[in-house]
Amino acid sequence: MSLIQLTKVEKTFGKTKVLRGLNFSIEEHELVAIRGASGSGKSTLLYLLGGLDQPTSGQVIIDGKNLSDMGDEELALFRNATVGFVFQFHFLLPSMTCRDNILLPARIGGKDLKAIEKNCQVLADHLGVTHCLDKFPFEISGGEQQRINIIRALSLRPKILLCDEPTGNLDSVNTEKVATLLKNLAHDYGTTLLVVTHDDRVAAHFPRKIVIEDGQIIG
Amino acid sequence: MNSYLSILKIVLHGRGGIKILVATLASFAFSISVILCTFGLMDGFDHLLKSGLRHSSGDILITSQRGFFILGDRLKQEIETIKPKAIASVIQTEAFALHADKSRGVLVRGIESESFSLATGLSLKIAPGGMAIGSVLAKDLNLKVGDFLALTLGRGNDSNEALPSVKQFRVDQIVSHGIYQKDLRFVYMPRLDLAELLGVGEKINLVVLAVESAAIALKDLAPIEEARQKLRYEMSSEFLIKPFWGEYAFLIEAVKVEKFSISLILQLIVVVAVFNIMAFVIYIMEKKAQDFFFLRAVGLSLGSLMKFWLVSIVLIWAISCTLAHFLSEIFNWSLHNLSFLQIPGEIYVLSSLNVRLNATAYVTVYFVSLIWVMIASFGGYWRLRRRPIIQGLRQEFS
Repeated sequence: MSLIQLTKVEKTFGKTKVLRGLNFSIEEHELVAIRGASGSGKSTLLYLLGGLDQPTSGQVIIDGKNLSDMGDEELALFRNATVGFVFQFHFLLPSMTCRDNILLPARIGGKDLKAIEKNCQVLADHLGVTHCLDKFPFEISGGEQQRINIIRALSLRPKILLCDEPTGNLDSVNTEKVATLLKNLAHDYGTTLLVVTHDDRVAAHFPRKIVIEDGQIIG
Repeated sequence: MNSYLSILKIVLHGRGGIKILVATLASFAFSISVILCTFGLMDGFDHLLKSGLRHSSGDILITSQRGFFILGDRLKQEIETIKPKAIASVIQTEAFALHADKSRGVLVRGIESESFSLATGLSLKIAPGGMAIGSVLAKDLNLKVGDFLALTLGRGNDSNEALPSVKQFRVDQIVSHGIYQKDLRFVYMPRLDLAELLGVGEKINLVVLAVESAAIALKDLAPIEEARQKLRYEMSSEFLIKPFWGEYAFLIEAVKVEKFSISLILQLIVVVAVFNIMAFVIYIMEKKAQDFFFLRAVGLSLGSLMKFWLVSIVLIWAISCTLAHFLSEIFNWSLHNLSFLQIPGEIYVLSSLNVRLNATAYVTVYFVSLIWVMIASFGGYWRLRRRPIIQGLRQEFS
């Protein structure tokens, strides 16, 4: 059975139909780029996969469970333990140091902080942001912020890593670095990776591409 | 618990968060304490006035329209129908107290120390030739125990023998009723001494009764009113039967009305406290909403959010109530110990005020404040709960 299975998924905001009957599946450990122009519905699709929103109709089944059947408590646990998010706007909380930001999902989930902090320290060394850990987000560069964001998303070793325009705010050098990094980390961590992007250079890093236009898969 | 502390740490992160929380707690505690103290002052006034009156009048006073009378067997039998805890025979007359260059109009009471103390709860021990005087009178005439005070007493107007007589008495005791006028005017002396001076023999002109034990603070006036009505039914209409509060009934009624009026005015203070809490909630919403939406995105459930809200509100409320209690205690201590907070007794009847708070007052004020704090903060919680996570994230981080 596929790790992610979408069946006739539709999403409507008011009178606007953003997703129109999507059907596809993604296997475990797959690396997938979701491409599309701005407003095509690709981010909405990612949020449905991450349990941040519910489809108007259709089914989103992840690891054999229909997200629409989950209660809030179960969905919260799913968001905490099964998926990791990397957002375009890094969403690092400005009032906390990068270390505290990284440990936030672990604190919410009531996990063993010491073990997770140790893993994150290794990852921070690997990504070259150890010096940023005790700084506040506003004290580090955009590229460093995004790497901290990635460490936080991977901190609980999620099954699925969902990235929404992770390079949207980066220059071309950092874009290339982050795209390569995501691919390598997903491989190392055995994580299924879905990256939403409108950038062909980023999409080129991933073996499978899903192209969305006007809420429909066209390729 | 760990999750709660983590969220709390996020909410309070930064100096501004802690400062505004401290300010909210202080203002809420202050508002609650103002309400508590106001109710406490009203209840304290009521209690002090009643206990002061009881200390001078017992529970029921019986006088005769004819003036002096003898407390005979028949009268005693009629009084016994209400099974009083104590009966005191008293002679009461007006006089002038003279000392040095000063004179004061006083009310002299001839009593038997033991029975009068039992009937009123005012501890008196006066030897023959001695007297007990009110504390304000002692201060006014600069008298202390052992000094002598002259009393000018009338003896009727039947003949030359009934001309006023002046006699000195030793001050054996200085007493305090807690009521300014009584402390200024009352003088106690042995009944036999006064009877001899007035030439009234065995006659008296006042009977003081204790319906309930004078040592126990009264909670309810109903039994006394009931006993008074029973006596009214039993005794001849020649006798006037008054409850101890009859003298100041208008004042007790006024305090009741004032308590109600002030409780309405105090709603303004409650509103101010509610504004403070709302300001704190608005601050949290403005500064921390993005944090909350992000927490939701990384796994904070609505149940956990609700728990966090409830625990926080109850903590704010509990800390404020505890602080308010201490503030009330400090105010009460200040009332007793700081001279500038002493009230002029000649205006306010009582020589001092006291904050007296019973369980009902605490429960009422604390419960109402909990309701208010929940209402004031619910909007913030509901806003977080109502908005979809993704909408919140997009708006707050845009």
